[in-house]
Amino acid sequence: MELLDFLHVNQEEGFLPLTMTLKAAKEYGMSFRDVEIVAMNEGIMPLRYKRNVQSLCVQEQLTLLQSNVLIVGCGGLGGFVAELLTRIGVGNISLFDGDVFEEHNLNRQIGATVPTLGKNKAQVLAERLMQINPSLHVSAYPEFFSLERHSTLLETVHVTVDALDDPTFKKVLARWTYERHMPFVHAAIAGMTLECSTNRCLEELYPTEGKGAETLLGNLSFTVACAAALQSAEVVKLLLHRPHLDQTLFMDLKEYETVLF
Amino acid sequence: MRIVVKLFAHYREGRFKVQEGDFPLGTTAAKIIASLELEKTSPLGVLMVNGRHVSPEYVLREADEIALFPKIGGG
Repeated sequence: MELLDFLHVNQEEGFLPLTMTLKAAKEYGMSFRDVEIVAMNEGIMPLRYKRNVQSLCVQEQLTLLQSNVLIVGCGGLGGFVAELLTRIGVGNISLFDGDVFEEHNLNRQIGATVPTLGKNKAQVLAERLMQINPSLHVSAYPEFFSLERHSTLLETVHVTVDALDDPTFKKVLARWTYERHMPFVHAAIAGMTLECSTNRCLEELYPTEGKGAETLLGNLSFTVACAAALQSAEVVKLLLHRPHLDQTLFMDLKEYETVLF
Repeated sequence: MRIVVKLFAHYREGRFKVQEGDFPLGTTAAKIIASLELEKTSPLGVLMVNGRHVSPEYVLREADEIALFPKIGGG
């Protein structure tokens, strides 16, 4: 039986179960990912995306699978963004972080668990993501991102996600990508306050050097998850060429106040 | 001259959300920021007057509305 026949015979109401993808990969000597690509080109959606349909068509799902996203920082924001983008179906993710998980990360960072304490954040997240989607190509860099060393990589990705906790470097990275017309999604949090923007420079948000209110207010789990959800939505919109945020969104979860500027 | 001052997030704590005040001619945005001691709480982020980003040296005018947001940079 040809692969296309196999896929049509084994699809269930337009969806291909994981077990059948694995079986096809083995029988036809292909990678799991390549089987999914062939299936999607035939209009057959991997079953994992059943709850994406209507919001994402099979062609858009294929676009996400073939997209490449760089996440700079794998702590609070980066962990949730990596998780959300993997679950929605982004197929290529590069992760940068030179830090290891510490006990004070357990309050909010999705990769931080008691067993991962002391382990590199990028590598821990990569292992976690691969368990979610066998089609994912994930590259973990256990080092801090540097424009001097890694700008070539930056030029090959479709979107760069700012998941840093250093306003000065956030500003530099935003300016660098802006000047080269490279898609860039920023977010930051402090206490119950968050901000998010797409393809914007950050000089107006960070008029001075140094940290912000996070040193006073800390970083809360739901604030970081909310900011990461907004960033993930922006990444998907950019990848699918849908309208995205064109101002900075500032949100105060204490009073549910949202300001765009 | 009458100026409307709007504060956001934790800048409101112990201060106010919106307040209209009388200020002498020539008052700059920096003067208002200093008078409220905002940066004793945390560094200033966005500074806008009438919805436009301005620098702290901006000289306010009658009926201006100044909005002050704390700088946030955590991840």
